[in-house]
Amino acid sequence: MGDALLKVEGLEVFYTRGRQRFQAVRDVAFEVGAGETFGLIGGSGCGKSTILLVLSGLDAQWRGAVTLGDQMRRDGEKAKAAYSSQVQMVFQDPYGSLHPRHTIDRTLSEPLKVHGVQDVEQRVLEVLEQVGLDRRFRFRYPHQLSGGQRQRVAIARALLRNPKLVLLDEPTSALDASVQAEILNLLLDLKRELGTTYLLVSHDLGVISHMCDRVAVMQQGQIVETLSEENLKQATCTHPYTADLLRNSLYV
Amino acid sequence: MPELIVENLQVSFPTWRGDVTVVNRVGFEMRTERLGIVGESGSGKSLTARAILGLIRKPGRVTADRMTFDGTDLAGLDEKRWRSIRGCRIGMIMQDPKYSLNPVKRVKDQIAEVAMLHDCVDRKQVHLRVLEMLAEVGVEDPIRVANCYPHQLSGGLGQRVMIVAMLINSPDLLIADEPTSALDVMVRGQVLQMMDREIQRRGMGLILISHDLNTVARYCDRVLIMYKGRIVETCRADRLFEAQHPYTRGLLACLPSAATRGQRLSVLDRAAIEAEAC
Repeated sequence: MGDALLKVEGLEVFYTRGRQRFQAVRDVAFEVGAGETFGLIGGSGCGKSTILLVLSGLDAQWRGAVTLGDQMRRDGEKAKAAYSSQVQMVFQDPYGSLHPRHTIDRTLSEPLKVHGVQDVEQRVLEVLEQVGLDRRFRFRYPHQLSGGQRQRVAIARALLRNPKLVLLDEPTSALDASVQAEILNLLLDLKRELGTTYLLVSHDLGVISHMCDRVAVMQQGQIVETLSEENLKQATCTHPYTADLLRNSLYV
Repeated sequence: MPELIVENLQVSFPTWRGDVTVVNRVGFEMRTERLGIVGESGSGKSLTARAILGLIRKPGRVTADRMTFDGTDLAGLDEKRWRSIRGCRIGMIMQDPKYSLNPVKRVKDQIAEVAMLHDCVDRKQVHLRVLEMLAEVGVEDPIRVANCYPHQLSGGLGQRVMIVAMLINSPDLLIADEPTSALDVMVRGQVLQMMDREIQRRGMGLILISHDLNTVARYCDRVLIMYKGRIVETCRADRLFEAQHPYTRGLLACLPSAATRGQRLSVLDRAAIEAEAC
């Protein structure tokens, strides 16, 4: 593990609705080393996706400090271009995250054009090859692709600008086991090839233990325990919630 | 439980390129047992279940050499006679309680409606029975839940409500189509255990449809493995991990875990499976 690429300190996220205040994330702190795969696991509503939204710059209601590389953001500060160019996100649902009326080519070219990249065409072909999609898919629409192929497009889109950190929000939970294996293989291959750092959110302990070097277990907005790869292998943990989670995942 | 016999079941849909057969020559028999059907999406497992309940809409076409439940021929039933089977003798639980519960009806009225339609419970006692049943499936405050609308419930509670609505008529057979895949891992175990307990207690039959091999291995006695509309293998659930067919082996091998860390997962070799299937 290299130096810390991402450092999150005292992160608090809350949503208000009228007078009601709901705290989604409470005092969360963790570090992710460059080239590491860090996992977040927990039940639904525990705040793991919220953390990703803050990190990707899609959420403004937060407090604390987020440092990515040499860029630091504090207390709900908006992400600057230098920050956002380093981080990309892959969403859970490949059906919902691609524009249904844009071809794959348009989906992939648009971010490049917005950022004024030269040679758009070449880059699009390059990422398509990286994610193992044939060129003939380039001018198709999302509905003409299978779930696995769509998730490949979503990964290609995340890779376009060579991000240092890729946020993966349940990238395989909408897919079949056989397709999930293909996507996980692809993610590992890309990591080897490009040295990307992953922050992987999942509720599937199998996926997490397969992919991650370290994993933080979350419950009700807090990180209750951080487990190493060894802990996962031997299913050793100290917090009762983690024990529950391990037991449920192993025997269900 | 009376016998369910399915022989040579076919379900096909017309397309502009000709008919597509999505369930192909499927046959099985079952009595009081827990039967699992596994396969990836598009393998025809849900359509098989729907065909048994006569829920395939036009232009879909269902044919079978034989499809009987307790001696009744299911193939020739009209809508009126279906009503005495569906929800009364065979119940079905769908994947997502959010979509399959009526959003504008209180939980207690929805459950009571099922019971009263089939005259299985005394009308005066029906609300009492609803509360009793909710308590049985592990709902801690049945009175509050009974008065809720579906959107006020969590996924786990919603699925419990679905299960109560299906169990209140004490059917002979319960078909559960991916009952827990919309739920959280923690809740998943609780719901499956509860369902299993109720089924064992009532001596019902269960058809559990899932894409998760581990779930099926744990909660079923016998497993059918479907691939591209056909049953490619049948085996005892406790022997599932010794299955022979390349598709089953492929499905087992592609599951990630701590033990596979750092290795590439094996992916399905579809060409080999096709060769075996033909």
